[in-house]
Amino acid sequence: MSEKNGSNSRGFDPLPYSVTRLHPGKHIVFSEDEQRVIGVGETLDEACAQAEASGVKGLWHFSYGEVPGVYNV
Amino acid sequence: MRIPYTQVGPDLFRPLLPVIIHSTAAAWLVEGLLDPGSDLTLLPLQWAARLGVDYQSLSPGGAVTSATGELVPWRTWQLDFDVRRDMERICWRADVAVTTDKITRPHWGFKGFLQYFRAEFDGPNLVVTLTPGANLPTPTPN
Repeated sequence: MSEKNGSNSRGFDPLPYSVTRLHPGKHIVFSEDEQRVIGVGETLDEACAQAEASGVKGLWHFSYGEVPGVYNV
Repeated sequence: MRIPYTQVGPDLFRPLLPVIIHSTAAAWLVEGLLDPGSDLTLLPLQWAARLGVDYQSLSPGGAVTSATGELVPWRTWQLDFDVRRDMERICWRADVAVTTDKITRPHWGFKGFLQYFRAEFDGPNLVVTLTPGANLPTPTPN
């Protein structure tokens, strides 16, 4: 399905480098509702545990802070 | 739908796209790499498990080769994708490959994702343009 101008069509961007650069090598959980980081961890489970402890509901956005100097191939 | 490359390091940019993944347990916004070099759409087990998947209950699919050359087994899971950008929303249901944790990041590869789009990777301008094809599967509204 492809629809335009729908009421649920708000776009989502990846987390900006200004946020991810603060958490190299870490999983990041960001609240789209509150527009803030609610969990950070070495593993996804650790990041989720922090996010759950925050009590923040709504749409969670999952990202990752890359380690400087480490490249994908 | 235009997707700017995202800065992920000093002078390092990647075509990342956040996708809402709907499962029976949750709806999450998950960033993945638009990856025409990946034959499959890959979701690491850590995400799938959190979304309520019992890995052992999934149908075995085969193996993929990781970037380090390891063979990584995968199993098939069907889920609903929901992409929202530029006042446009695109939804479809597709098979994804749930991999063990040797694959650490979601990849939006050919089967299940890029097979449904005309994709132009514009390196000089750091933008990907995705245009849905006529083969985009039937909608799965949520």
